Amino acid sequence: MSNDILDVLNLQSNNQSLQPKNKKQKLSDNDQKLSGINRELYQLLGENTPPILIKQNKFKDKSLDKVSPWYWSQFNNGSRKDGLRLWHWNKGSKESNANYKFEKYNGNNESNIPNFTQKDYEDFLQDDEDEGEWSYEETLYLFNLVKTYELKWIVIHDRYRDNVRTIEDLKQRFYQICQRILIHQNELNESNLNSNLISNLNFNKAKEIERKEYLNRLLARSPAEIAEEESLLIEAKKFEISAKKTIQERSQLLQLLDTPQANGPIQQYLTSQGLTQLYNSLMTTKVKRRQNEAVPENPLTVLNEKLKQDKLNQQKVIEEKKKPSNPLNSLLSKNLTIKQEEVFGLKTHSEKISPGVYLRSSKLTNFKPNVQNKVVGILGELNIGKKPVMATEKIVNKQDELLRAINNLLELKKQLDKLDAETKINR
Amino acid sequence: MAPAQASSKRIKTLSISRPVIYGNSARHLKDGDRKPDTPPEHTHKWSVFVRSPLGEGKAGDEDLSLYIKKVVFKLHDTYPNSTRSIEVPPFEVEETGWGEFEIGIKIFFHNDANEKNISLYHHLRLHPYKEEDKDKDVIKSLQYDEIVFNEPTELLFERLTSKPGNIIPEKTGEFNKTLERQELQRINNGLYTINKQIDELRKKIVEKSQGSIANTITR
Repeated sequence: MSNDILDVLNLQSNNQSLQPKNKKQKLSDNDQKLSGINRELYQLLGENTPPILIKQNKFKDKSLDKVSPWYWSQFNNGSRKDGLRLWHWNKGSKESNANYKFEKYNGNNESNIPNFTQKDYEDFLQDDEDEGEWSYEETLYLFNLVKTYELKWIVIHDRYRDNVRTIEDLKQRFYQICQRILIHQNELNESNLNSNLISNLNFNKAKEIERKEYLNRLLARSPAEIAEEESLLIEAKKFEISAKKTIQERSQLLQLLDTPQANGPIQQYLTSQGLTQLYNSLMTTKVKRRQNEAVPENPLTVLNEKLKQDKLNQQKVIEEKKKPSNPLNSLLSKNLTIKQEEVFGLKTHSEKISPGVYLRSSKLTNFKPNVQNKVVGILGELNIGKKPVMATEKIVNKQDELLRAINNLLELKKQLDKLDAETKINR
Repeated sequence: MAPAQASSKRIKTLSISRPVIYGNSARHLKDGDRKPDTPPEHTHKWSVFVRSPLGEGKAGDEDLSLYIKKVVFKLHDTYPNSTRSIEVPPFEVEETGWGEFEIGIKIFFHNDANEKNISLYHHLRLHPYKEEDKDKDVIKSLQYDEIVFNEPTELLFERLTSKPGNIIPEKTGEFNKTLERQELQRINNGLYTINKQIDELRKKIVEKSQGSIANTITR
């Protein structure tokens, strides 16, 4: 079946010649196990592996034939000195007298904690500047406590006599002494054995105190503060997203500022009718251009066409001459001077205009109510009325230019405010 | 056969305009003006009108009736037959009253113009608002506008070009060339100020945004 599909799609099945036998076996294997729609699906796949497992293996109940043996046995307890023998259940072996297997986790760090004598202390452990007023006795006392309580600092601090020193004091002293001992050993042996350990033993007391203070503060937060923090985090995320967006917008704006502004009136393109007109005119010029590019002109046909056109034109002229004189045509054909045109309020437009009657003042740009209010405000500052006193063509055009400039100004102001707000946030 | 006459075909890429003035005048009612049916609470006598700036009286009226068929004034509902249709010039309604209100004015054109009517609104003014009007007997509130016919029908075109009708007087009348020039000058001054502000703002924005972009990049 898959081969049929491959045939239809004009594909060569590449595996066929290589391992025909193997494949057949596999297929027959599937055939036996699968039935109905599953089998059909498998055949459609051909030699490709299925994207999901169509066949589901059934759960098989494994019967445990052999129970693993557990034995009741004795063991040695290394941490006890009295030689008390205890029993426990042990899996697998009958062996008694074995060491307890969790013995290795017993905490006896005594061997890891360095020892020192009074001579050592005087030789190289003593502080030069007598910082913190540590004596040999007190240092020894600290080390003994550390050994007893296995570096459990809270306990050590709790048991410390007088309790004058803070945990950080104790820690610093201990690690400092350890470090000095190690350095001294290295010097003696002229080796670099524990250099890694030595650098690890640098204890920064100030930092530790700061860390604990910070944690305390974190714990002491009230639920309201926690909520505020969370909301601030969300806000921050929002800012990040909007910052990206504004950067994009900004670059667009910069581009806009660079490009020259359209000076011509766009009024006529604001209606859907005007828009389609614009679209059509653009399209036709495009099409014309394409045609010109595509078809190289045959000079002979061009000449013929021209001759034809000339003839037609001549005929037209004759016809027009025959026509009875029409005041309208005569007026239209006359080239009116500007003065004359003004007398009649005439104006010829280079582009198509949408027919109909309108009031001159109605062609002033209108803005959204809130923008309109601001525009009127600025007009007031300039001592110019909202509506021109004399809505002549010149004035309406100028006023509209002014309105658009004001709108531009408002837009720019908005952008500047946005920028300011942003730089404030970024700081 | 009649010679090729102007038809209702529209003339492409051509527009023709006519100036109009609309507004009202008002003055206090004098005892002599009161008629038996004048309500006693009425204090003013006013008239609302549409007329030509080319001149009052016959010349202006003729000019308007070249293209205006009728003017409908919609007065306040409290007036008897509040919709007044005036079909012959002068297009004017005289009334008495005591309050100011918005008057709807609809201008209808001759059928051959094949145009829809246009609506405008005028706020009836009875009281002086400006200091200089205080002592005047007659209060006037006027608005100048132009009616523009885009692609007029040939018929309308022929009628409108039968005599000059767009030249407003140089100095006389309520609206004249001198006034236009003054207003143009005012707007030009405003435009100059605004453009200066725009340039300043633009410079600021470019500076700031470059700064902030650099800021965000370094962050």
